[in-house]
Amino acid sequence: MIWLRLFIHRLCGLFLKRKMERDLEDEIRAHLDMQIEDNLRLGMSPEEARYEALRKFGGVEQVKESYRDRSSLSAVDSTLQDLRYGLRMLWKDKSFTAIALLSLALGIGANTAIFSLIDTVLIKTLPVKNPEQLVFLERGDVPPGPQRSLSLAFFEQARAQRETLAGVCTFVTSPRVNVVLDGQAEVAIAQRVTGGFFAVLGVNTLLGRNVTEEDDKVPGAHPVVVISHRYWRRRFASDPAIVGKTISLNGHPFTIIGVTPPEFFGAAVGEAPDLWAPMMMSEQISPGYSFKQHLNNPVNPMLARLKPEVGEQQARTLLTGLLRQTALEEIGKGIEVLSPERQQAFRQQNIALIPASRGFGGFASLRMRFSEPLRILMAVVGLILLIACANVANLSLARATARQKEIAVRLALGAGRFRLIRQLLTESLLLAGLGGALGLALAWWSNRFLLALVASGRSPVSLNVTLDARVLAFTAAASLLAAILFGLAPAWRATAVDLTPELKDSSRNAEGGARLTAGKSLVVMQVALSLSTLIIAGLFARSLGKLYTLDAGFKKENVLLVSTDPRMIGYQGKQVSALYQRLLERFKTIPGVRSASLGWAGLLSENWIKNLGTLHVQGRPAPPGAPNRPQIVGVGLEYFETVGMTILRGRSFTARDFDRESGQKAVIVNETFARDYFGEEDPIGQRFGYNAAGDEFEIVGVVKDTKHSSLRETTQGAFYTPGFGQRDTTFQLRTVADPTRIIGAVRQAAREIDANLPLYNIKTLATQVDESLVQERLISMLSSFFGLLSLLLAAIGLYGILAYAVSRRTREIGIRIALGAQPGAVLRMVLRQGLILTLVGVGFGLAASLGATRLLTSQLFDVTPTDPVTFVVAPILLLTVALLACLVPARRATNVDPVIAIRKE
Amino acid sequence: MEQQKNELLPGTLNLMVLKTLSALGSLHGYGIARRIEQISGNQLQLNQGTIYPALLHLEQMGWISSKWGVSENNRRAKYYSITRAGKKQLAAEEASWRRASEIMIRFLEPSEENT
Repeated sequence: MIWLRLFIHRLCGLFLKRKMERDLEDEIRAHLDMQIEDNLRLGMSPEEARYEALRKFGGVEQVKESYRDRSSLSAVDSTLQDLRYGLRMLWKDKSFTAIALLSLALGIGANTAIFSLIDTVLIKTLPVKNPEQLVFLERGDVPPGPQRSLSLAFFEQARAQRETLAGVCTFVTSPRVNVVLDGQAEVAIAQRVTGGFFAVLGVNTLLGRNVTEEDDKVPGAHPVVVISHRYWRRRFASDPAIVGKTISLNGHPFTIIGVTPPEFFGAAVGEAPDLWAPMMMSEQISPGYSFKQHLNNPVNPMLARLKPEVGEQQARTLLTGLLRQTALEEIGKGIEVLSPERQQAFRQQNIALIPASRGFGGFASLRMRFSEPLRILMAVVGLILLIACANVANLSLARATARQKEIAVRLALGAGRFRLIRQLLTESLLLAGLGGALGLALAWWSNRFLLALVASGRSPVSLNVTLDARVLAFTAAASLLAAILFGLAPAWRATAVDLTPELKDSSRNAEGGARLTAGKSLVVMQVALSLSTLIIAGLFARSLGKLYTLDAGFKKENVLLVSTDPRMIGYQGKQVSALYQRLLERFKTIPGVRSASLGWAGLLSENWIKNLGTLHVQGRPAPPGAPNRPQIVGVGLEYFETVGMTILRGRSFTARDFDRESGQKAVIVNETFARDYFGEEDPIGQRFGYNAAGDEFEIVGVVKDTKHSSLRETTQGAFYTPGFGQRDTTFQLRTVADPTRIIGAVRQAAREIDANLPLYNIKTLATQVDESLVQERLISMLSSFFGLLSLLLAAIGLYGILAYAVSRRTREIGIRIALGAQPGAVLRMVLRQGLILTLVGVGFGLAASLGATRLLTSQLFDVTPTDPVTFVVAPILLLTVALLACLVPARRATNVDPVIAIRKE
Repeated sequence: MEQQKNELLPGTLNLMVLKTLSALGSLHGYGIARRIEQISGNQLQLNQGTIYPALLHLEQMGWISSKWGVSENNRRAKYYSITRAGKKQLAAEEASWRRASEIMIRFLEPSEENT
């Protein structure tokens, strides 16, 4: 306990410092006076007495110092002292501090911003109890995709497996449900969940109760919903008496039974349903849901909670056994009836456990889409931080030279080298700490914007960045790393001083030369890194440009899209198409509308319908290897004209094609379809169909290929049938001028026909195309921004080193000018120095980039990783900026007055 | 002639201060320093100043206490006195020093006989 007693005393000493100092002075004075008096009594002269007293006492200052060491926590005390001194030095050298802080804030800020994005999108676990026990179950023996889904039979078996699993559940999201509350209609996102959903997730309600197994036994029997905290706040103004209230979902009354806690957003990152209802209520929630079973077969996603005592390996083995058993039951006989290959495949069937925090694997989840771009951006901002550190290190080196004399004096007065290094490192840490704090603020501010960018895609994404411990720890680590990177070398260097020449002479000595070399290598590194980031930015910008100018096959300008689903408000069967017909007629009369049509899918809308049946072409066998599952799109009259698709052969649809009674089924196919099925032959007049005879449809025309769900896709075969269908649809309105101007008129027109009709996704086709490129745009914008940032930082570095070199060579330049050197020659001399550094950096940068850009291939579109344009333009840009950065110090060199320069030394 | 003075052995100053205070009661820093010099017969090389950090340490350990008072010739001075814990510490340290010096003496005596 002795250390504790000392610690407390010393802690007090820290605060009583002034008083203790004064007391000690008094004590020492009293001591000396008494000694002097005694000495006088012994007969010494006053002067002698005083001298003798001081001699006997020993060094007064040393005593005070050792007293101070003991009186308080010397480490804390001297650190405080260092901090005060550091702050004073930083304040004194404002331009250095400003540039250093700016560099660091940008470097650390960029890193923090990207890291917090990664943290939110990729790292965060679900806000539920023991998220590590939650797994998605999938087939592990087949390639990623829908075929990994497991059967309903397996789901039922797994539900009964009480030893391995604490629970299994599944959920289906209905992105649009018409909610009517007090006569006001609104579209909300609903999730249908099996009874075990909340129990499996381990989420309790804030108010009321959860959906349970009891609610999910009989179809249509339990019209209950749990609402999200967000929805509760937004729509019900946090009404505490909400439980028991009735709302109407798609025309069916539902009772609100509970509210989820605020931190719970759903079972997958980026998803945020407003309401949860029992799966057995599917028919009410999801109109047109006509399956006999209320669960899809196969079941996807399948979310399970492992029992804590069951290891992952053990669970996998048990579940794999279960999988094979249910598969056998489905076959109904022994495995022997299968062909040898199928037996082999059967034996390889197994279950994969995907940690729930990673989202459902194999699907285009938010995590999957953004993990690669975010990793690339993280690497880029890492480079930025390095460049920023090099900048600060360079400035510190130059500053250390200016402080050489101060340091030499302090060393000569007996300051320890490590004490001085500590002092200099404290300054670095202080700088990095301030830079980190600024960076954090910068990241916090920019993150709203970044998130908006990520969330502006086609499917609704809900993300929430919070400043959690991980982000703070990351920023602290980045700042500390930066401080060590830029602080240690200059501190070590600065204190390794040969005292004599330093104190004698002012500054121009060999040491400065060595420092210049260090600075030069830093600048070369900066230029190389900066070029790499510029090249990365260039490649992404070129990719995005190619995607933008890509011919999607339709004309995106001046088209307004409006989606609706009348089934939400009770329309059925023929009523749906009749309503569509009336809407279409009404829309055409809106002033400014040139033409109007409708279609189910396509145009990069992320809706797609694939008929899974096999196509037969009349009079010939299915061609081997050809994709046999073309996309099928139901369209209205004038569809191709409205969206600007080109009919290559044959004709477009006419009103007669829409007359079902005529028995004619005309279809129009795209180029890829025609090529796949008919090669060079003329497809017009050919017949095909899903029936064995293959005579269901007759081809009347061929349209140019269009991009269907993504600009990056290779076009697939598709065919268009005339018909409105009895499902949700999207209207396309081609306008004379800006399509957003007619939105009000469109809403009004729809209201006239049915005031309750929900309209959603009202946007221009150009916006829809933009939204499909959100990931590409994010990475391109950010990498361009970071590329320019790195260029700026490198320019500052280059400017700094040249300005320093010129100031060191003032005397030499003065002599040259005195001996008759022309200003042009001096200018060229300095410029040459800067440009040589830049060229060496460019060389390294090009070599590194040529090797590294291969890693970006998967993110590029129609641009090779060694794209010649980028590899020429980026260095030219860099050289131009470098030249400008060099010009300033070079001009200064030509203005050196020889008389002043020579006299200065 | 100035005779050869002994360096102060490490750790002994604390003991000397405690012993002095235990023998003489309340005393100021100068008095303690003078007393140590007298007892050692001026054989000890002592920078009087060094007793102040030592006094601070002893006080922090709770072995001595201090208060301001007035000296014989009307001077403001800090007076130190030994506490109960200090007496215990003194007894323990005295015993351990005695043992240590006995060992040293026993160690040195035979070699003296040999020469």
